[in-house]
Amino acid sequence: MGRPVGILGTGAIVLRSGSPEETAAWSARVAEATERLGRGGRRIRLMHRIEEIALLASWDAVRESRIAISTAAHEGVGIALGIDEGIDGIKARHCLAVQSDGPSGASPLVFPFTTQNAVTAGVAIALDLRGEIFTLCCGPLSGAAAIGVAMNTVRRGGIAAMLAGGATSVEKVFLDALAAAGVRDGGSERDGAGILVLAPEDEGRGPNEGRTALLIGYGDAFGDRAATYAVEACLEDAEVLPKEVGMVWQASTDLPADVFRRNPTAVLAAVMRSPHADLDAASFPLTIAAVARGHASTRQGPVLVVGADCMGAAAAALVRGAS
Amino acid sequence: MISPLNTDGETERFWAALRSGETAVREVRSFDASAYSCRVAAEIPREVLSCEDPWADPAMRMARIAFDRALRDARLLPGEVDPVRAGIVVGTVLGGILSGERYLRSAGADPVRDRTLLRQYPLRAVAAVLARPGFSGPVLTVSTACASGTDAIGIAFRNLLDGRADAMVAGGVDAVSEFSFSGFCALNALTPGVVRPFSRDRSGLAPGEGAAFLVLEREKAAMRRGARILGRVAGYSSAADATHLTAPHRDGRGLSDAATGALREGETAASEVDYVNAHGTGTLYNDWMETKALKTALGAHAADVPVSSIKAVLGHAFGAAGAMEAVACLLSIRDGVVPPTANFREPDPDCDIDCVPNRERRVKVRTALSLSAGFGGQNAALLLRGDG
Repeated sequence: MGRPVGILGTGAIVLRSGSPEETAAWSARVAEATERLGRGGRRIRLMHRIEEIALLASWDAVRESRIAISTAAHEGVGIALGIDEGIDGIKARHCLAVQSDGPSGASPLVFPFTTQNAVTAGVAIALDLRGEIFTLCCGPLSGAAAIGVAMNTVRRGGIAAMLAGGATSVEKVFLDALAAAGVRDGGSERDGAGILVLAPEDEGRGPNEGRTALLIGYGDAFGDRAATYAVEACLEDAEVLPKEVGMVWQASTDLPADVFRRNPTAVLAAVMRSPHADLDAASFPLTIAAVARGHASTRQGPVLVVGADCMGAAAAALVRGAS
Repeated sequence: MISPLNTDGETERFWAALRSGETAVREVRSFDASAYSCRVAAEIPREVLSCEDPWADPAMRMARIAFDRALRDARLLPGEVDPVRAGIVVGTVLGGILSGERYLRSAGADPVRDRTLLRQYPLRAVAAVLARPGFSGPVLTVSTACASGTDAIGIAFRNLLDGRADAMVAGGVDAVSEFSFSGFCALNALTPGVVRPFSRDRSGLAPGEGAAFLVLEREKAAMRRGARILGRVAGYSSAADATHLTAPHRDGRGLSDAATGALREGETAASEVDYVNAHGTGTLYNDWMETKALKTALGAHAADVPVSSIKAVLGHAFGAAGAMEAVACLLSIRDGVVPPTANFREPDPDCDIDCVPNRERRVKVRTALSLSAGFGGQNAALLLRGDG
């Protein structure tokens, strides 16, 4: 059994409407963040939407957690982010500029943002995180994988906290690609980020330092029975029996509806679909954040968050309310 | 593994070429680079990667060849490990970017082709291509720029240490593409001619490509099934610079933190490190930074320990580089030979380390440290050991 990990803070951003009001409010938030996180009188510079949402969700999570990213703690705070969609537009811009203009079409400002880890690096630079740093690219389960890696890192000790989660920006270029591939209903453009601040269980227990919840188990798997295996691994990790699970939240659009009826672990709890299930790499962490914020009752027992993707991977995490 | 030095996948051929210092960096052939000011790379001829599927992405082919080879070398047969306890971690920077380029440049022209190319474009696809019966545990893709291969091995190592898996196959892959070549050229990071790590007249890196995978198992389990153990992962650490997206921290802070973390995990004193396989890209700033990082992490021992970069011979294989360098460390441990830093011409007072210039050296290597760094302030270090 692995030790439980405290969820000290959460950051959750979901932008769906693209309305003038949403856009104006968002611009104001970005302006505030770039100014307040700047150093030496200089604003930080954010070039792309996915950078904005990843950074602001991380900033929210850090503020809620009240962890001190101070000089003493620099080496002790790391980050693991799951990034899948959100940089296709940047890649397309670089690729097509080189195609049309040759070598001079390549911009030294754009090219560095064509790698997935640029988003994670941007958060680390803005928040001055000098601990371990990972970017996981596992499709819609990228955020889940990042949480698994971060949880493992925290359990190993020697680190004050890890920011973990995922961000997505579903762009037109991606939706066009889905259409080209014959997927008619790829949804509309949408953005989201879910970030958790994970720390050892005994952190954040001071009278004014509320720990929102505990992450008590994690499992992931691949193949025909991935969802079953992931749930089993998660429950085993947490040493929780299937009958002790209070509720199941489905954090992806690809999870087969009857997985729990076919699952030999016989999770009998009610299965609810997370409102964030379509938010790609952000869906799993956003769902955990919602549970941690009390949007799902954990009185009946811990909440099992499960996600799966169309390529054959699945992940599960077990969240318990902090008592 | 497969690289420009061993297009047949024979690891011994790779090792012989590294030891000889004969470079695989040549004029680019996989695309028309005539308009670029820099025109060299280390490539695997595309005909070597051809297969029945004309649309198969070269990076996917490399990954499959190296992955199969690793399983064969390890004699890891299906069913020998509980599938749920067997996983894969792949490190890559751009994965199937060659399919992405083809898709983006011809989008909409042929829906059937689009579908084929699109399936291979996401980074996730590399891991999915490698997954097969017998691997039902974690299947992950990690993308931490040029530290990807090292981080993949490190994450797999931790899965074993923490009891989440019994066997993990981990490594990295990337292919030379105009996409990345043009970007690095715009950043003035490419050499117009020869890669000369740690040399005063160094002028930049040359892109490389390939794939390398290691099969990691707990020692007792490997011995029980009679596997040949090449070495041990003794420690691993990652650290962020948190300073700049493309430039390394000027004192190599993150890289020294990663090296120190790996030594700490391996309960190894700096003086016990017998060989350092450097990131050693041959760019002005990386090699300065790396020298400073080594001095911080190893103290006075940094002046004595042999440090070499194989990128002069192999080019910079980005997401595969760390895994290839881990293989080089294991072979150094096995044979008691340190590969040279090839093409070295002139000492740089700011890179005052023993960089094993131009000729291999016989050294008893019990413990080797492999360093990786990349865009975004990524740093990672692996500590590898031999028998006992």
